Amino acid sequence: MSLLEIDGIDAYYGESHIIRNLSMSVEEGEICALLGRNGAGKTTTLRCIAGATPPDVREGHIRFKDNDITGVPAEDVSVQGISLVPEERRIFPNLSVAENLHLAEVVNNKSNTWGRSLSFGHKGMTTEEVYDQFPRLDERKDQRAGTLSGGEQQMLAIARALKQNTDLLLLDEPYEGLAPKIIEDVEDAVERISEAGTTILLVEQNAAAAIKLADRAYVIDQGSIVFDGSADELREDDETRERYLGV
Amino acid sequence: MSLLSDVLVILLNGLQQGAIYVLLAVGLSIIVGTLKFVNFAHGALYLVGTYAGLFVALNVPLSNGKLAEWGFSSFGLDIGFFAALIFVPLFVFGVGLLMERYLARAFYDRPDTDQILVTFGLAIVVQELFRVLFGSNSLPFEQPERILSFGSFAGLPVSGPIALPIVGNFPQWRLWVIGITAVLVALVYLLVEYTDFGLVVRAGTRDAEMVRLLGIKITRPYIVVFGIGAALAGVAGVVGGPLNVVNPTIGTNILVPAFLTVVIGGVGSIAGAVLGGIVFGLTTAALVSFAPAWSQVGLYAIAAIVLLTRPQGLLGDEEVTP
Repeated sequence: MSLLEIDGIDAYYGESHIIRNLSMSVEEGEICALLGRNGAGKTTTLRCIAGATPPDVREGHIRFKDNDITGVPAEDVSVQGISLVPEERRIFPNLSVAENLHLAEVVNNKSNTWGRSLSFGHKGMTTEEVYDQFPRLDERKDQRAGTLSGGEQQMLAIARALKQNTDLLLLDEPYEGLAPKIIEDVEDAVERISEAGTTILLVEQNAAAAIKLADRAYVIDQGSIVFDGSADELREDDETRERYLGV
Repeated sequence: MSLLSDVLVILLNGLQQGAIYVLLAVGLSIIVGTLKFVNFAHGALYLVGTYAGLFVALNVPLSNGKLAEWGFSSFGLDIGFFAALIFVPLFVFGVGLLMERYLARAFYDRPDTDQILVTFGLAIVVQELFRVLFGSNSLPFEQPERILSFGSFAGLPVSGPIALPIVGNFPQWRLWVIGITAVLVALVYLLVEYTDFGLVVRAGTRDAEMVRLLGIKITRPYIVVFGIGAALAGVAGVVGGPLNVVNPTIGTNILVPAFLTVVIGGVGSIAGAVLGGIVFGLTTAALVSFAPAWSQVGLYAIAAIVLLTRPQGLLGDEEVTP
């Protein structure tokens, strides 16, 4: 059984049909890459998994740890152990770094858990562990998150996801807009997270960088999967890379 | 009467007038800022608060309206002003919860115009309902003489003049209004700035979807925010009632100044609502003293100037849009 299984989903933004009969799976412990051009449907796929609306999934099923999570609201998908680090990071610029991180723990408050079952495999990291991993954030913990550099904001978004009790981390374009040196830092962080046992689904336009880390890769085009194989296979498949990724 | 004492009197009167705006605007601002819900029924909550305050605190004779026709010659529990200060906010808090659950929630994803239409409609229904029940004429809402009187303890005197240095005699009740407002606004501020509830509210103001992606059920803080905003409007009704006339149109009359206060302060900013309320209060008090004919125009002139020079409001955040 795969950790995450997507079975023939069709998803719409209003009346626009974005995802067409898409099937894919993510195995426990791996780094899986979902690659494709701008507008191919990568972010939409992640939003479907995370329960964000829109899009609206009208056909097919998404199963996580063998539970059907199709159409389950975002907050309930999250407490089952899926965290999304969205495109453009979406940290809260009006809150301090420490407050941004603390927000990931609020889910455990009684007022929030009342009447809901939280079923995490992993415990989230403590604040100390997060600051150990990202010393820059510790230095800037009282600063408004909006004043951080792009790289620091990305670190904060990842750190926030790690503080959640996450089994599957969805990373949406984590390298976007970052300098090469910072990309290396993010890559290191992703590797450490993976080694600690968290499964990762990595969405990137920067295919070369993603393939470097990934065990397996999918390529998406016009809302459907057009390639499915190991990272090595994709590296050698010049035609697919040329045609769908432009590299 | 020296010039200094005149200025101080205007200052105190302005703060008192501003306090009512502040109570309304803080509640309205957190509702508009957090929930992105434009609540034109906020004045109706003030109306409900005023009548509920009258009902709990006093017992007034009725001569008009259906209630009088049905044989109720008077209205009220007459259990004191302090009781009104406790029970009315709780009651209006409950009204706010019901309003969020059964009205506002269905309109969060709809355009502002729909929200305005439905809440303005509700405000008119409430106003006319009160008119039918109590008649159009004003009811007397006397200032409380003492609060907290139990048995042999005579209580604290809250009405009548108090001698202040320089100013001389000043109506004591007005100082109480300022004090009660300051305490309540400070409590709301602490709640929003220093609790997890407030953290969720501030984060949700920026990006509600991201809050949900962190596993937080935002509907719960939302309904509480609405309740708190409503309760503050209820308090405004109770403390403001004895200072103004009490009739069914007070809700719609106070709505525009309350919205202007929110807008000039900056939507979603508690500090902005306080500043906006004080600016409006002082302007009104100053104009009433020096140019009474212009006192109604002052608010609009200030609002226009602020919006032309700082569209996001005095303490508003440019990136937050209602």
